[in-house]
Amino acid sequence: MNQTRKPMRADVSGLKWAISTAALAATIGGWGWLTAQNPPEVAIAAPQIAVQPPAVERQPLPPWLTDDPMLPVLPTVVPLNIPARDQVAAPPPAPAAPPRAPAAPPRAPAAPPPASAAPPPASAAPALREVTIPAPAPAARTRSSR
Amino acid sequence: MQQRSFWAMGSTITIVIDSDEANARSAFAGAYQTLRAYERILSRFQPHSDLNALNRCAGRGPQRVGQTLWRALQHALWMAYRSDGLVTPAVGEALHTAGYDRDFRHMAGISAADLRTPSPVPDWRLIQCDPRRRTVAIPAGMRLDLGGSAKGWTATLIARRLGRRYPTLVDAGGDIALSGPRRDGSPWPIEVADPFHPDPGLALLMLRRGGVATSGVDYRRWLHRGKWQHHLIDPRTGDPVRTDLLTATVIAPTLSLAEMAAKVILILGAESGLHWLADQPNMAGLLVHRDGQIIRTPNVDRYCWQSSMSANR
Repeated sequence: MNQTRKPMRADVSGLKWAISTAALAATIGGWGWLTAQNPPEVAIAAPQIAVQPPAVERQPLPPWLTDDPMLPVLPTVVPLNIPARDQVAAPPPAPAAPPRAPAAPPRAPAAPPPASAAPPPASAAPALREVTIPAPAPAARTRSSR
Repeated sequence: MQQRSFWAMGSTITIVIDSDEANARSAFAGAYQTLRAYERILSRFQPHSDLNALNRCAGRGPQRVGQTLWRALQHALWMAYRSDGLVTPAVGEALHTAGYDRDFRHMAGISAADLRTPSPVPDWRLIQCDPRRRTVAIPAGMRLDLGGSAKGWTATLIARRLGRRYPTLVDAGGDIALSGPRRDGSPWPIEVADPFHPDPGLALLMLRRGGVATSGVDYRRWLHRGKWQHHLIDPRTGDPVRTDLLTATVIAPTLSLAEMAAKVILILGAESGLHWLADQPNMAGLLVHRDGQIIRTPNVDRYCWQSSMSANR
């Protein structure tokens, strides 16, 4: 029985490696050469920035800001239980002095009255008055534990 | 202003909320549920409460307890420390001996419990707590009672919780906790009751925050084997306290402190109590002697309503 043997294939792996390496080297070399031939031009242009001052329009201030405010005149608050001045009854007139005895001899000019008897000056300190405020209703009561 | 009253923890609880919102109803309901839940845990008169379960295990070593009982007990022990042992949670057995063995509503002023000789209350420092395992060990023969301490602690807690939304006042049977000033920033007017006259008060306090408590021997009294007893135990004797005071009212930064201080003053009596109170920061007191004399600390006028003012005519 004739047997035909398949011819052995030549081992070309070394050749493949050589071709691949050569192609890679040519690619890298070509890229490097081209890069060296044509360097990128870096042109740094100074930016032109024009800063313009903002336009401020001077407007006149509103009158309510410049004019002096008008202070409201508040009515005097009077506590409720203090009667108004016109409601205070005038003090009762002093009883008429009894007529002098006709037989009394005329006296010598009397000495000036003592200083303590002088009427109080008109500008005396205002009198203090007690104003009672009603107590609020209690919200709770504390006592022995219920 | 809205308020709701109900019965819990052996007292009439009144909650006042300074708000007109309709949502405040849910706040009342939440507070009621909290009080009920805490009562089930902390009451000495409910046989299945956590406190009674712990009391039944006295002398049997460390017992693990729930979070609420743990916190209430720590609070009571802190008050015992602050009062140098005069206000202690270890008075349960002494109260039972004195005849206070059920809810005061059911006592009808008379107790038929066996009369036994009182003995000094065990030292509160014998209670051993392990915070890591949350266990408590109480010695044999000791019975805990958190009574007023738990009530004040719960009232403070509720005032603080509701106070996040509304200005709140919690009145726990006459002991009052405040969350802060009212809506308009004004203080709460609180009347101090006169134990001799039901209607007119002794003073009108104006408080923005903190608490005020009154302890007294004029209420929660009962006849036990022909002898009048009351609920305030002197731990030094184990007997209901013998004091020259009828009531003591204290204003303090918290309701718990006020309640502890009022009890201490009542136990110590007028003279020693006033000396003790003078050493406490930020507290003021108003005491009523048995003979009717009213004693005020100098700083109590700062909290009282000033009924008159001077004005220029």
